[in-house]
Amino acid sequence: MKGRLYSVGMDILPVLKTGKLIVIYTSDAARTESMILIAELGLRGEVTIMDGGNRYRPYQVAKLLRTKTVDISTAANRLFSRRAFTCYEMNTLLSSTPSLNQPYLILDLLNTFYDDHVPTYEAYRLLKSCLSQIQRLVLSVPVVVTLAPPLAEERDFLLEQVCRQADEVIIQEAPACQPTQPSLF
Amino acid sequence: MAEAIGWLLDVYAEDDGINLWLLTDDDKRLHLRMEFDITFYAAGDFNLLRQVWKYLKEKDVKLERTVRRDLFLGERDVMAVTTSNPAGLQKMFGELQRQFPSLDYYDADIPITLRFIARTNTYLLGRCHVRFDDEWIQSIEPLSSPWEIDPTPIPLRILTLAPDCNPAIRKPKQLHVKYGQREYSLFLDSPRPFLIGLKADLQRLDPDLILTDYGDTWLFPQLGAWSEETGIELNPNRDENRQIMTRKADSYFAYGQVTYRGAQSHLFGRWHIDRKNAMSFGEYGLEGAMEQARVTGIGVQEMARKSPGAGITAMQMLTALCNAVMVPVQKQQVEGTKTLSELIRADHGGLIYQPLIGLHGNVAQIDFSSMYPAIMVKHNISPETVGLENAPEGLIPKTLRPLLEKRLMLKNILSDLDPRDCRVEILKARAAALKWLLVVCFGYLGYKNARFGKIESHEAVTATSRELMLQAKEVAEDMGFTVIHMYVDCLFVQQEGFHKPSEFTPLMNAIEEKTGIPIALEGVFKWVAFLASKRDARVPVPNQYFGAFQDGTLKYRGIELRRRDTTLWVRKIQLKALEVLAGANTPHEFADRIPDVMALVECAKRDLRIGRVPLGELVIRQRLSRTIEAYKTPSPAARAALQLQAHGRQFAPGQSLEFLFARNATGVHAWELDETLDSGRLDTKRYCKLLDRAVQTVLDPGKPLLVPQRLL
Repeated sequence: MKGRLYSVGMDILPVLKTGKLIVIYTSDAARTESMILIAELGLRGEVTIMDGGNRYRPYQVAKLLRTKTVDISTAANRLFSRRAFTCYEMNTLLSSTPSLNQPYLILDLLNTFYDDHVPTYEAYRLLKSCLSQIQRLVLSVPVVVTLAPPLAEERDFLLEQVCRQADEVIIQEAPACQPTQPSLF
Repeated sequence: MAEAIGWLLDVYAEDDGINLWLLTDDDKRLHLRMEFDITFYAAGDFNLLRQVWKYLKEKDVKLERTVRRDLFLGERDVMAVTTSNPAGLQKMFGELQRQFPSLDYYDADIPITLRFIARTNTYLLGRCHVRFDDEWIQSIEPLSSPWEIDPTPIPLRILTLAPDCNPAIRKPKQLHVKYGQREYSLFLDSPRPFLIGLKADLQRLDPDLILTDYGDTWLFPQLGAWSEETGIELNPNRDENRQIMTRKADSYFAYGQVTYRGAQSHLFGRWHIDRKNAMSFGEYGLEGAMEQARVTGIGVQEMARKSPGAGITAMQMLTALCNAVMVPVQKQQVEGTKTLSELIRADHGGLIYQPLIGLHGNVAQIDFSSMYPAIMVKHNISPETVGLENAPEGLIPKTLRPLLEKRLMLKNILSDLDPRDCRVEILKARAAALKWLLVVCFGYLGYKNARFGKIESHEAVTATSRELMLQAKEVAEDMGFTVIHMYVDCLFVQQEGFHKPSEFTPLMNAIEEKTGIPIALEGVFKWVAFLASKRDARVPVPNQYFGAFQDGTLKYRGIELRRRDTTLWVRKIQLKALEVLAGANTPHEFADRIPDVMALVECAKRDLRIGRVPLGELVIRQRLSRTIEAYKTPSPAARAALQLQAHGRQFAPGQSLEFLFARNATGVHAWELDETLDSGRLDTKRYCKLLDRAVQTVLDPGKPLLVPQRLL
């Protein structure tokens, strides 16, 4: 891993810089945090969202935008999204994405790579190809990738492969165990 | 040169061509062979293709540069690889794909039956005329079409084998054998006489189909073990050069749940179907499985065990092959870019209204017939045509058109037949089998592993359906009807004074004229109840309703009776309650019958408490959604699985477990445990609670009518 580790609670916007690949790793691929980030970025300019795990929640983003502006449609028309449902599609999606001057968010990048119908060697090959495309995008704009853990440990290496290439890795802090008193009534 | 006419039973690959089995008109089973070259294609970077050429030129294949059509990319320069060894294709392709993974491959994993149909136009189970020399087919000519409404029945010899109990629970003692009108049992206590007896039966009867219970998971593996143990060879294949083809058990995620599929045993030259391991066999039986095999081109043994989705994929592949379109091994079309506003507008399902909660009298339910497939055909919605105007007929509509027409014709024939007609059951099974293919075809437009899918075409179908439903609603309201509920492809309408089916015909004609999609009257309810959420009585639940048609037949959706995890006892009582209520002709009469239902329930509870209810009726069946170790808080099914695990049983996700609620430390008692639960340990309170819940579901809608009456 090239960069430092942060906790998810931090404000990610100041970290977003051209040439930086930021990875957010949580148990749910930063479901809530990524929507907040999309809304914040949408208020500032155009954003491309690539969804690999059906994580994009358009209504949630619209609601978040509504709390910040009355002109939702301007921001909504600046958020461009595409979804991939297999790792082959994710590879095609990334390789067909032009380098534009706008941040890229790749939601739950590895979800389709965890599919046990895809042989491990194939998942490895496709991810390598995807990462080289991400590197191409990183040259001109910041790229944020969210990740969730695999269902089977055998695919942990995919996670490591992505994190190794990241400039910053932001991970979810495990919730502290607080002693709780049982209620009496 | 010899010739024969008959039904095509089986086609499978061999090293030097393909094998065919024909059931001839003079009741012979002919084993024929046919030379059969097969071709697949590789496309991509030309430097890589050059390397592929070098890699393959040493192998026994023919290589050629050619131009073929990709459905989305159009004409492509490809390398055609032709082999005369169909049985060796998968191995060769697997090695090639590992060596050159970044190329695009086409037509490499098409079932041999589909290739055969595409080349000869002769379908499985269809009639054909063959000319052959010494087993080798010289010509084959189809004599029937899979789209015939009334195909000539095949005179199959069917041998049924079923053990006297579920082998997963206890060791069977006998195997029941049925052939024609004859029924007898073979004893299993000693393998040697059993094997000799079964072998003699197989040779004497020479069945075309071995229909078993637990054949996949128990009988055939056990036959192999006994055969080894005793040294008595028993090959259940008709093709004596073949061994049983086995497939491992697996768990997979489909239609929103984890499903377990047991190991499989396939035969060559005859079929084996395990009724306990065939996905929809319970619903449409052998006639349905044969109908699906006929139209999809997948063998009967395969189709009986596969999901309808596999059938639709096969039909699409066949259409592609027949239209010189290459079938990709991996679909790579991705969604086009959408803004947030566009995504919110496009990404919706079917139209679902919130029904008016409560009881309603004289309500007609009208359904669009096969709405989504009809939309796909009528509006030419296919992944390659979506968004295009005046495009030629797309691959998906081309595939679905004959299927849709056949199903509608079968439905029409069924509606004209007397219910006592002997053809009714067969036609119903065939119509149901086709219905399932049509049901899944829409999902396959957006399914991740579909060969020809694209999410935009999926969205286009739902968008069109929503529009059509709104048009139907407007037509109904213009004609003075109140639309009580709308659910994806059906409407519930009511108008004062309308109660005869014929009174709704003008409305249906008007809707059909407006939308262009056929619509049918499901029936007129004397009363129908739309339910409220159990958490919030103000919120309706769109997919939960029940009602009684004018002839007294019941229709219920989404209630306990329809749930697989409801015990038989609760289901029986809920059905009895509904039958009592079905006697009511109006919502007010419904309320009058509530006391009768309450009495029925009290009686049922009393029977339970005094142990009069057989334990078998109290068994709960639930599925394991994950491995037992993965449960943080084990569900009742997981707790039952743990009990059985202690006795050496293994479970995979998707497997179902049966158990009783018991008053013990774990709260459950696995049904398959050897020791029977003492009836005193039964958790009767829990069962009473389940029954109360089910009864509450059916009585709640009538209660608002009951209270004022009582007050008066």
